[in-house]
Amino acid sequence: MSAPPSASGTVRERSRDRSVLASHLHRIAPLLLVALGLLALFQARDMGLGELTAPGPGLWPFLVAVLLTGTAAVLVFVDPAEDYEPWTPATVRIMGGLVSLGLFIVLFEALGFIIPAFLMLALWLRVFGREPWRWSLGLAVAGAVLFHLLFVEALGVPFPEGVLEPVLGG
Amino acid sequence: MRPLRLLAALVLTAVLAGCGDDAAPDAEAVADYPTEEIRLLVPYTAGGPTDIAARALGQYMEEQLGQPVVVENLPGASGATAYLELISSPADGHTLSMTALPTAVLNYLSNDVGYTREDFAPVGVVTQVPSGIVVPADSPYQDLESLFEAARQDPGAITVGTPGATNTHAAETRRITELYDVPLTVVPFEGGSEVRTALLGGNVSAGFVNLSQDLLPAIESGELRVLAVGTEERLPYVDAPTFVELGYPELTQSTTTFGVIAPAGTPEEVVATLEDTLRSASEDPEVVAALEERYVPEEFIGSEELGQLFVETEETFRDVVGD
Amino acid sequence: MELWDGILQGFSVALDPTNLLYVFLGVLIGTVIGVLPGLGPTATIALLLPLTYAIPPETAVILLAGIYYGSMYGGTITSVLLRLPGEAAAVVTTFDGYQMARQGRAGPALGIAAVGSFIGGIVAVIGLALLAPPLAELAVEFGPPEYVALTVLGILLVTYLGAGSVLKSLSMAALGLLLATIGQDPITGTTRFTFDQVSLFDGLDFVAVAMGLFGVGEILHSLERTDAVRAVTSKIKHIWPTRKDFRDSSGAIARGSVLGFFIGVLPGGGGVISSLASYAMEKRRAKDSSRFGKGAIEGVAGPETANNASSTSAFIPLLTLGIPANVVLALIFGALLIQGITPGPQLIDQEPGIFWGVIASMFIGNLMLLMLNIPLVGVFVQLLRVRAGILAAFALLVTMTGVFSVNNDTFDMWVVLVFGVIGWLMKKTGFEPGPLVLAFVLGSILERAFRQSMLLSGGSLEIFVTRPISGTLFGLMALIIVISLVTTRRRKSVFGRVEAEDLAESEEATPSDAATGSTASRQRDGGPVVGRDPDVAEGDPGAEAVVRAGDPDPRAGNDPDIPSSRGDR
Repeated sequence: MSAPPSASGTVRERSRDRSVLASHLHRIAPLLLVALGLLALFQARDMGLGELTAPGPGLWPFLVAVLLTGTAAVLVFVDPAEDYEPWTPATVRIMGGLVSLGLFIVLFEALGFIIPAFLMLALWLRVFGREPWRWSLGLAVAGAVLFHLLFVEALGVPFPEGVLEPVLGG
Repeated sequence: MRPLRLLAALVLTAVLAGCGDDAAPDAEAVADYPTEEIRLLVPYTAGGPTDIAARALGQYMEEQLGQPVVVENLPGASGATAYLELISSPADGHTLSMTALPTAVLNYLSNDVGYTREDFAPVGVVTQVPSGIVVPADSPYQDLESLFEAARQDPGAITVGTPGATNTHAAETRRITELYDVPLTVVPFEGGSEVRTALLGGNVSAGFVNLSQDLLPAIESGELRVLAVGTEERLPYVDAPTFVELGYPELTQSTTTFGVIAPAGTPEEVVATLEDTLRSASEDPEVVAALEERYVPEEFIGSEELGQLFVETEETFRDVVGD
Repeated sequence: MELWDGILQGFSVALDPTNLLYVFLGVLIGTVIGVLPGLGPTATIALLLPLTYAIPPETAVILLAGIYYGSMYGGTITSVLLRLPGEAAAVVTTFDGYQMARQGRAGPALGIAAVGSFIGGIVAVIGLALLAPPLAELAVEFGPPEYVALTVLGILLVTYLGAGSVLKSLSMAALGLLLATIGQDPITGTTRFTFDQVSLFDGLDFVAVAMGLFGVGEILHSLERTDAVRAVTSKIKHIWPTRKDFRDSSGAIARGSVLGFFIGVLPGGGGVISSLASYAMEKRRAKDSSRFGKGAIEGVAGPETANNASSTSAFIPLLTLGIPANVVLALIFGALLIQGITPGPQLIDQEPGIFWGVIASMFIGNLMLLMLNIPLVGVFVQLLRVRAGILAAFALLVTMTGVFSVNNDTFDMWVVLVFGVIGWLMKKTGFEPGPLVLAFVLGSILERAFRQSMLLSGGSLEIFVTRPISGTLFGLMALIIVISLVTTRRRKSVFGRVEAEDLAESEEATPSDAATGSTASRQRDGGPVVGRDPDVAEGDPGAEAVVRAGDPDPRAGNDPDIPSSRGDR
């Protein structure tokens, strides 16, 4: 509403009032990119740069890593803080979501499709979607069976062998 | 949270279920082979030459062996994905894979891909596709000598397109430079059709490619000219001399061999049964027509010779790939 | 008239009841798999290929072609509704399409995409009938240096696309280029950044990367912001595009058709670049370019049209020269070979039934798709009435499963997960996934072409300026850069947000909002991401897909690239 055109300027001024550290916290993101770029830079150099007549495997990654490091380095200084969202306690929920997806993959390899699919749907519907139990379980069963029919029976995708599928597939 | 407890219980079940898997084949199973469905892995995608060969073969094997043969495409990592699946399967003849030489060997020579030829039990050869050096119709080079001469005159002037970076054609072209001191620049493309595009557009001087079925019409119509073929003897369907008769006796390693392999440790009786099936397939007119008659070897190449070929290929290319 | 005879013969083939049925089946399957994230036309055609061995060749190609362009229509739907681009082709659409959906305008977005795709398809079919041979000659002229020019142009356009800062886009493009180098070096075969994982030898799969960054990243992000997961929130205003929508997008559709048709002819990156180019062109032409990335209908109409036009013109090199322009076409090529037919210059004369039959079937297929999609838009828009938590759970499951089916490898599911986290972090830090994904697609084409050029020229960079086509393209790019530098200088924010309206928006922010960043995040929800890129080939999502899908794995040895089997007869 009333801030001056350069929002980043405002941010900087205001944050001086608070904590200098917190206002610069967002710079971690470009710094991470710089670190990644430098890492790639050194790895690429080790692969062998060759020369223009016969470029080595490392030449192209090297050039690209230079571009990444360069742009990220400038961003460390110029990127305005309003581009960044603050961290919230809800971030924990994301960890939960990620763990559930990881478990899904592990179970998928061990148990085939149907059981993990049911579990994942049920979890996401009930916990993250806040659906009532009845809906969650019903939809999870229907979804798992439906996708099994679609992918395995209709499209013939070779899923890992399941423990339940033989019963279902006949 | 209740779902989580349920999840934990299921993880436990999964772990327990994972422990009771099948072990080595017993003697009884060997005698009755095959006792169940056979998986025939294809290291490339559906629709390609390897896949088509596998399907023709699979159908025949199904009729002969009396068990279903399921063709499964596992493309990736130049075939390593399929080979790794093969060697991690029980060595009882119920999991087989198609293979393409020398790619299968070059692959493990140039990178650590988790397998070598010693992990395989060769069964037999299905088809062999020859290769050759081709130039576009308007190329100034009428024969191999003038092409090589131009290269010696001006190193770097002659560029040779190949269908890949680590395949036979690239390796064989480098061998030309190494063995006969002809400075050729290898320019790898993605697949034979890209090499053709580059030839037609005049972007490379020559191409070293498989004389496969998709290329033959262009050769017959005169759009492309074959300067030399990489076989021991002349080919009945291509009017071009061999490298051997042109004075390059070493250049006979570029033919691609498609074969069938089983995991190492597969019982000899099982391999023998499969070898017999392949041999009779190579004599069955219907299968031969499906495989393309030109590419089916006149004399069947069996388990032992295919094993030999693996060894020879490895010896030939070990040094080229090393550097 | 020869042409007339050909067209008549084509329709007599295409209108045969069996073929009619197969066109319908093809476009239907195409639409369905286009809607299922992950399961793109490449995977589907590979799965269905064995079934075509038993049907006549023209019917087989008609079916497979139908799946191909049908999936172009279907792919739009998930990009718009769920921000899940199933293939490179769909990335550019997510830019404005998803924003339109958030504003309750999913219906108009999908409707205009269907209409644009139809017009683009028809224009390209007509072009294919009239111009195929001369254009094929032109496509062959494109050697490695021209591809360098074209892909560099593409990356330049990519950074110009986002709604955020140019520098951030460029930085993400660089990251995309770096990710594209994972796997075997295309020239020497050395493995790079693979950490001894065989699954990484072919590089990362495009589908997994895109699904992770866009779809899964979005869902994770929403998990943090609200109690219950939500997807698209606003109320649905119209199901159909209004008259104004049509007026606004008519120019974009016309330009997209022509652009898509011509660029699509180029083997390799033609498709993606055509939709990128269309998007950039529309953004440039717009009086108020700030609307782009925030739900501008031209940003959906243009690229969607270009994308479908290019998927049709991609058939030109195949049907006239026997050169498949991308993985999907390579599979169709394989299907023909199995039938004993080798596509090439002689195809028009020797197999006119196939050549003209396929062209006529595309005409009919596009018509069917339009009729199929108009009612479907209504149905799919209703999907948004489903509670977001349910939608998210199902979207996740179908993403994971679809990604697995691309290579039948659980490794790709982990890739989705990792890129989901990256996508979420990018959202939090104001980086856009669009430039990353598109640069990733173009990166491997660019590197390969660059190194081939160096081999061809003996290390001299002159090759890029002395050849007429690449010289012209590089000249054009220099011009674009100069012009945008001049204009941005005027706007005074080279490094910050470039668009004038961005400045305006930040003015609106209250100081405290700015300090916490919440305003920005609110804006961003509404906002970002790049749009759609037509298919690089659809199937060829660039690099990775190509590599994985190509018959004999192209990167590695193509020995087996021999369409050997089956003979001419």
